[in-house]
Amino acid sequence: MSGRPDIGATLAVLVVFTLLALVAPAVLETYTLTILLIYGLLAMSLGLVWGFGGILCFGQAAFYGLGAYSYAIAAINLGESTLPFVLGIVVPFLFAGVLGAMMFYGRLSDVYLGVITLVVTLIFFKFMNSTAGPEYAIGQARLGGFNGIPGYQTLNVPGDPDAYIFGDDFYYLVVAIVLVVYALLRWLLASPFGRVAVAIRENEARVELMGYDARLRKTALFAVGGAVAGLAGTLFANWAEIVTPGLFSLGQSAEIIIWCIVGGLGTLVGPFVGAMLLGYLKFALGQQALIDNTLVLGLVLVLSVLLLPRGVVPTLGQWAGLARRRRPRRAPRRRLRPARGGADG
Amino acid sequence: MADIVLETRGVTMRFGGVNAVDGVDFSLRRDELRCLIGPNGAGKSTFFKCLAGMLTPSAGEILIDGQETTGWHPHEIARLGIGIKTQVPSVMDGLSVRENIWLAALRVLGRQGADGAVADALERLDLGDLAARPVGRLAHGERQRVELGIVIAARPWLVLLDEPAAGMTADEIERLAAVIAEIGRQAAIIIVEHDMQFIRAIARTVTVFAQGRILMEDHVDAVMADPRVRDIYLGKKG
Repeated sequence: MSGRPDIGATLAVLVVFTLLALVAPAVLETYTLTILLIYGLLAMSLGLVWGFGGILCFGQAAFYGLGAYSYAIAAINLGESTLPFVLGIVVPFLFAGVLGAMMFYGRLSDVYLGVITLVVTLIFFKFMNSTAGPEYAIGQARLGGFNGIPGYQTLNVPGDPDAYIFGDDFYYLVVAIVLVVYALLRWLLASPFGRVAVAIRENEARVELMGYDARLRKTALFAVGGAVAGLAGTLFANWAEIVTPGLFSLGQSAEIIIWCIVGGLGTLVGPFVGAMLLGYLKFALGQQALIDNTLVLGLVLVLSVLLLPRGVVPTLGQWAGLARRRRPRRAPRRRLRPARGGADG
Repeated sequence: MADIVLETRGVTMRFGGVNAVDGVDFSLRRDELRCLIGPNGAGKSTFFKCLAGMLTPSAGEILIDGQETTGWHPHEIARLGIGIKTQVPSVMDGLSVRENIWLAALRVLGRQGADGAVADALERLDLGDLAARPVGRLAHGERQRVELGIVIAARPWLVLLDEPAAGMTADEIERLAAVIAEIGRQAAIIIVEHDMQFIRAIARTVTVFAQGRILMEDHVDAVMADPRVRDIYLGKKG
């Protein structure tokens, strides 16, 4: 409450995640693990703006795709990955800031906000698909229409374009990035800015009556979410080594929302876990041709909403809390934590 | 005129063809506690919302501490140092009592001062035992107290309260009257209220609204004795 993050819980999550990340390559290829982590990062970006800011953005894929395209275009023009990597975060951050300012200062209601973010994504999708001609180029980078942009410089050690970071090294870099982003977001949510953002989700009118400018704070939170999604897009561009308009697709937007719902809103870990689980399921289903994998994902969503309406992680947290309360002599009684208010996990 | 902290000139609020507030001229002194009363639909809550920035008047102007605030957003009005409590308790249900009040104190007093202001508000409103409880799990009267805590924790010099006693028990109302008297030593207060006993306990000057206009403004005893006031409350032609 006083602006200090729950350091114990944050450290516990970081340690468990690190251990799992070190053990996981024994079970799954780092190539697959890397994309699951990127999906997790992307889900965390929506988990931040939706779960903590109460802003349901149907177009998180727009910032994801923008990050990927910004990186690819800059990498072709510059031939070195350091500045493109930064641009892959800064461009979506600025775009989300401008879009958010237009929506929040325009006092749009939640429904219109959802519609506008969805439409923006679809505009990107449509536009990028229609850029096949040579006239659609930024510097030396042709946008490539439906085929996208291949063949750009992938991540290298800063200052040394020949020292590529790929394979297992890239995996461990992504692990480190996830750790840093998680810790930074936990710090942000525990700061006065983060607490006011959560308060806005709870009751925007009251927060305004306290003297806080809710529009400014929502815009800032939206921009931070855009930056994290852009970072995920930048990492994706380095993982896939090609960016295509599919990054802006309706399916991609919907998938991010489903990850958050299944994993559980109101936490950062929930959307991350949801993305990892469903991402892996999609990957596993992709190995067979018997069942259409979108049907299975749809079924998982329906079952999740019916059986675990709060999502996987909050439900597990609830069960753990119940188990602790059944052992009152051993475990000291804990302070009751608000169901929706805290910056848990 | 120097000690007038709030003034309205011809404030009018139209909804379609209806004038909910109709050319109201009103003023409040720095040390004053003023109750606004009137039957349902008299326009007092609409007038209150205009003062708080929750509605922009169709005509007229509002001056707070000499500054024209007509059309300002609620957060801009609150930043002048004004505490606002709405008719329906407006609190953050998912947050604890402590955090609700802390967020209000934080903006004004910063991290250093906020904890002290929270402890003070919890004690004054007898909310200490409920401090860790999510506000969504509290009874109506308790939520009213939490909202009052939000108001007083920000140390305002002008307080606007819309029906603060609604839904409270007799004990709670008694404690509320004492808290309001205490706030009144440091701040000017406007209270919209229905509970006549409560008004008698706290008010000196009362402004009576009827059909969007000010019907009369006088000492509480004179207002209670006025046949026009009795008539409008009983539904006769005012």
